[in-house]
Amino acid sequence: MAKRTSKLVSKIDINMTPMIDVVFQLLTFFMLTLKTVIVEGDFNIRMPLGASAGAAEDNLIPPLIVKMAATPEGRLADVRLGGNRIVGPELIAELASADVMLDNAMEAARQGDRGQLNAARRAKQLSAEKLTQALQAQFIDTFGNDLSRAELTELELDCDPGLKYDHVVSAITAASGIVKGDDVVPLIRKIKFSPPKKAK
Amino acid sequence: MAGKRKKTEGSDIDMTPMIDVTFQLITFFMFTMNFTEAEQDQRIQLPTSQVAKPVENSDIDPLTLQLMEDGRVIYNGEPVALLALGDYLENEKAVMLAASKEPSAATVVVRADGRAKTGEVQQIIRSCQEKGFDKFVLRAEYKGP
Repeated sequence: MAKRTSKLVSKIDINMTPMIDVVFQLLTFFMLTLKTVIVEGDFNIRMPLGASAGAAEDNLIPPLIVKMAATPEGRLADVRLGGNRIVGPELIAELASADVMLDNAMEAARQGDRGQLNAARRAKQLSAEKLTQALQAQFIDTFGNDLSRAELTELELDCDPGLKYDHVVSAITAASGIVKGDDVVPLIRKIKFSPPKKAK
Repeated sequence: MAGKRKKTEGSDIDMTPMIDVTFQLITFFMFTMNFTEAEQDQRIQLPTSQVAKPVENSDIDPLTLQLMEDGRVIYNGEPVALLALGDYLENEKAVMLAASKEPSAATVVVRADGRAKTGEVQQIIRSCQEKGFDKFVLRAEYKGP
């Protein structure tokens, strides 16, 4: 019995070591170069050339002007739509606290403690979604029942230069479309930034 | 002699399952590899959005400008100062004109960090406009509802 087994073994005895070496090298290479692909999306913004900004447009519906003010740290201080304040102080405070929380968590992560990072990211995203919903409710309100008017309307974003960019993306998200289940109903198609103010 | 053979038998592990699994892993990592490296820079933390339209594969090469949190712009994988961007865009424009294309035919993709300042995003757009680029898209990370 023992004789037979050893004979069989010696027949298929290929030296696997170099192949396994190479295979593990490859595996290590692909593991280290792994980057998770993030799903990304685009927003079109309409920024025509020339100083025609503010000139007469081809439609008569006046543009919606959203004014976003910033605190010196770049946090959202105030949002106004045509002069009316549209975001309550509670939400502003929540946005700010989520921002502070994320900053602290990032700092802790740099020191090696990543424990709070996920919770802080979630809080940040939740507050951003609340801002989006609050703004969207206001946009829909201005159109009343006639959402088709939204297509012809232009949205102008007048932001403080120091404002953090993710608040602007929240506003663009609110204006671009309404999420209904898996579908997105488009709202305003023309979005632009206000021309910069001369005095600064 | 007999002792030697015994040694061989002792180290005779069945390698087949391990090699199977290892090859599976290699195939997995190969397919999940991201080949568009220049497009997604890990230094940028994109803002998230629920309605950002999925990136459509346009036939022309977009010009991707990535704004970092500290206000520098990643152009061709290298961080450059925002104020120096005009020179690089001038090159880009010259390349396009040499290929007998107008700069306005190209789409400028702005991948800005969520923590960057809005004024800097506007500054990028303004620099591009000065060189004749006028199609812009703002990129965000898609977070489904």
